[in-house]
Amino acid sequence: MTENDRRHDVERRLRELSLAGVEPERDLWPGIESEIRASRLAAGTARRWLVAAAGIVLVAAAVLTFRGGGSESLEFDPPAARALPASSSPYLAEAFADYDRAREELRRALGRRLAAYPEELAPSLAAAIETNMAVIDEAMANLERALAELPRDEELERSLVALYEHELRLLEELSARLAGSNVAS
Amino acid sequence: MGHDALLVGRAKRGDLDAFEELYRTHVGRVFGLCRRLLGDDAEAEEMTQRVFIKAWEKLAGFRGASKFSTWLHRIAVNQTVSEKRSRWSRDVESLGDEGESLETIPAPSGLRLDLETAVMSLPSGARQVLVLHDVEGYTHAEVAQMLGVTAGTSKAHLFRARSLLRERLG
Repeated sequence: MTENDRRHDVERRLRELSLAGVEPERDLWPGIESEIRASRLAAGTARRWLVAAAGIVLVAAAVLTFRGGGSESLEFDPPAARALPASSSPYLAEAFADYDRAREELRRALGRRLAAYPEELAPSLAAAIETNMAVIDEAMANLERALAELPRDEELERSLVALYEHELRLLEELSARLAGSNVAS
Repeated sequence: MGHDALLVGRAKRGDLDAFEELYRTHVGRVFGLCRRLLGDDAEAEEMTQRVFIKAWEKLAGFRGASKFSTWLHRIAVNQTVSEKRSRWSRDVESLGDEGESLETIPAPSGLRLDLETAVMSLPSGARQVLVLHDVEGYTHAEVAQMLGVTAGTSKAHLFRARSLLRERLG
């Protein structure tokens, strides 16, 4: 065999080596299995939060109705600004930026409106807002806890974005109600 | 549908028994690859475990465009390289583009070796480049990017690795 033949032979055998298996001396499966089971347990905990949060979102949707009326006026204190969860995906970061901007605009518009027409916020309407906001706050806290355990989980992030949209609809509907009551009066 | 595909389908639905069968089928190739890249059995065992755990975590994203074995092999390369890149980069750069001689590294006991043993006997930087280029089929540009070195360094290592290998194979 020439030097050239030898070189080609070694190169061919090296390529074949990729398919050749080497069995480890010990069985590695028990370690793999226990790690997977542990991560499943952690994911299961996060999933339970998700289920709880999803249930709460449904409740929020159900109570998103206002029963306006009454004559007594109240102050409306818009909820504090939200924060983007740590280690968010670009999708969530972008959705959050849109939500944060829209929410701030709505919050300011509502503040101006109530400063001009404080009598518009009837007690029953204020109570409905408070209930809805509390439900949304709790759902968001649940989702944020779940995302802390499962960062960038697509399902959790989608639920959080749905909740952002839910809150914006609530504030928009409140805005529309106030505008309507002023026109009516 | 192949046996692997059926097992992957079951594993995707959370069936750990099916994933164990996939492990039993493919552990030899994954361990072999990790061992050649790392040059140490104990480290290779730990890496193999992490590769299969990573594969389980990413299984939902496996669409079957390639064979499961190919997909798993790529995870093994990526996982091993990404965890060891900084250390390897130092090993590989130690040759330098000028080609510091490796001839001072002795062949084990002067015996004619089988290919697997001969590969394992190479100095680490040369072995990693040889395994990635000649065994796994990556280009010098890809090897250089993986290891964070220049393509010239990768070529110099490969040249020396092949020479040493031929010498040790007798």
